[in-house]
Amino acid sequence: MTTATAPSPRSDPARRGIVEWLTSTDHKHVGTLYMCTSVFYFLVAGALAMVIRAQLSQPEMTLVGPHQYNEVFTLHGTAMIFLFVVPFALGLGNYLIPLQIGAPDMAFPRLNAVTYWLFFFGGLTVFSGVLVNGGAAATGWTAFAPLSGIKIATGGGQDLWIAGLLMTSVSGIFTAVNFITTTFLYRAPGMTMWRLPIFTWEMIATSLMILMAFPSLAAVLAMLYIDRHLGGQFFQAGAGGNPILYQHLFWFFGHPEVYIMILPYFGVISEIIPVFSRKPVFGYTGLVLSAFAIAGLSMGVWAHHMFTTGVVANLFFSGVSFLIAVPTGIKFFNWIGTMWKGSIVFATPMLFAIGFMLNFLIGGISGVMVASPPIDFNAEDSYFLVAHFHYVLGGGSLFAIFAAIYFWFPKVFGKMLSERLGKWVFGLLFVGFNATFFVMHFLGDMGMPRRVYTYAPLPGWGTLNLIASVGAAIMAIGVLLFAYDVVTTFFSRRYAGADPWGGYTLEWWTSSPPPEFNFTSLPPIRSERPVFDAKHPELARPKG
Amino acid sequence: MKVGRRLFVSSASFGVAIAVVYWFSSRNLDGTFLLGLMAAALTFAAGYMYVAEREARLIGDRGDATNADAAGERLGTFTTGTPWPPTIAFGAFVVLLGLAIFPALAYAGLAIVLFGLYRLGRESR
Repeated sequence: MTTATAPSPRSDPARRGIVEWLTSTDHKHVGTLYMCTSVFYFLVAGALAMVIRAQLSQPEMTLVGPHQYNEVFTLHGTAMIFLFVVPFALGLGNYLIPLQIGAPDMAFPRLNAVTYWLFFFGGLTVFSGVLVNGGAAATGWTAFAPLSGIKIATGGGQDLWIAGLLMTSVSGIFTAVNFITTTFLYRAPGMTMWRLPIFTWEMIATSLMILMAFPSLAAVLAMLYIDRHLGGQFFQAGAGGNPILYQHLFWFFGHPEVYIMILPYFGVISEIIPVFSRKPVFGYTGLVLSAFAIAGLSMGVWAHHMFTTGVVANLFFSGVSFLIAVPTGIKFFNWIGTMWKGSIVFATPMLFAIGFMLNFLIGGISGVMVASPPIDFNAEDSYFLVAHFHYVLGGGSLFAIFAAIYFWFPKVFGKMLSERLGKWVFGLLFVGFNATFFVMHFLGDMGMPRRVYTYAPLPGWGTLNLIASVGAAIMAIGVLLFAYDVVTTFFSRRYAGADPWGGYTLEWWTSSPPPEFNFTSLPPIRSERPVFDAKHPELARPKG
Repeated sequence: MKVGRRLFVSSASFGVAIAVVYWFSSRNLDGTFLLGLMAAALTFAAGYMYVAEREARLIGDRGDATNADAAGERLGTFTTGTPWPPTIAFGAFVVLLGLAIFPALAYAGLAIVLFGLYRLGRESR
């Protein structure tokens, strides 16, 4: 790690006016706003998770009532998925893609700013439901019809939920168009497609999935609104509609969404592991192709969420779901191959990357289990599924997000987060996460259903739930410590310099934070790690 | 561009293939229609890429290109800050808030959106 002198006032974001930030079209500002806003929503969603865990810490608790509990877990899931994990990836893509390909900005900077503000107001719209009659939406993040129909979900909160997600889905579609156009058309001289950093490749695959999946979400939300207020009958069985159609349309978005939430973070991990293993990435082509294999296959698995409806082709969806394990396994193989015989540095980003691999492996294996219909019939709507998807999205995406924050924070803000505190944050989150969610596998196996606001004092349930709640409290301490680290870092003098980690890709060539329009010069680009090549010409390995 | 076109062509082919396999294994119209639409959208994008590729001479596609090759009198277009994107999004927020709780608000929101789009369009010229 190296240190440097203080950056010039012009490039120090803390000294810029708030109006300049709010009206900016600079991809770095837009990306930073995206990430900061999504972290804010993460804190809100995390606080809601603490309410859930407090309520479930003992049998027959009455901290919140059943309807309030439904609102809490609905807002928790909605915020984590739509307002944190996905937007953070889009923010990171916004910040990094132009830097990694050597471009001065995104292809459509004004559209880019519109997407951030749509996301921002979309989130506000969802949460504004708590202020209206009937309270916020209380139908889960899936809002299945007819549960979300006007006869059951009578309050305005459900409409605000629909409106908010409509805004975020349109925002996502615009962002995907921007990412693809920028990457295809704005690459620096010599930055051929096969020299793109893996993160950028993963964002292309993610963008393709967003373009295919998000219109389905927008459509189903519009149809739901029409059903609720304009006399539509799309999902009303009694009037000739079909509630299963809601599930088809929702999951045609919903399952690719899972991969939209994980592919960018596969890219993050693929950037971090080589740098801290002091080696080139192992199997570059395999990593790129596996991203597209995952993207393609994920478009054909939506109804594995519908096995128990009895009206879908279980064999087809089960088979394709199993197949996804193959390209995912290739990625794991390549990450391990990259670390193999490397001079591994266990800095905080690397610890989070390894934590990601361990947690995601557990989530992946339980995913293969529930891809089998006989197992899924038993696990459906139980805490086993809660454990599974939290291992994928919490243990996976969340750990990769922390890895990304610790890795790129110096680039974005020009200062280093504390390594000592970072390791404590990692330890607390890793222990807390596994304490919270591993026991949920057993709870599910014992038959505890998800989305219940309380439970009877059955043998073992209280103890396991208490362990989960203590684990959640440990995670909360970890998050608070992280917040403390961030705040104190802004007041510290730990200046980062352009390349504090010995990075490989172009963002490490320019100053931290980068100047307006990103680069004052570019190195020759002859491989996927041009900065390493420029600094170590004797070890450079040009690539075709 | 060639890699981009191949990407879209491969994705479109995959979309067609999976739609066919899905139809014969499930006879489900909803899903087949969704997959068919996906394949059609990807085919459209692949077709556009094919046409655009003939026009494009991208410096980023040349593996041996240097910074000097990209030098010239025209630097490119650089966008400055603008208040209209947050204005447009705020207008959309008011529209949807109106649709959800108070319909008259939606008209006010629509006016804000249209005004923002108009100003942004003028500014972009």
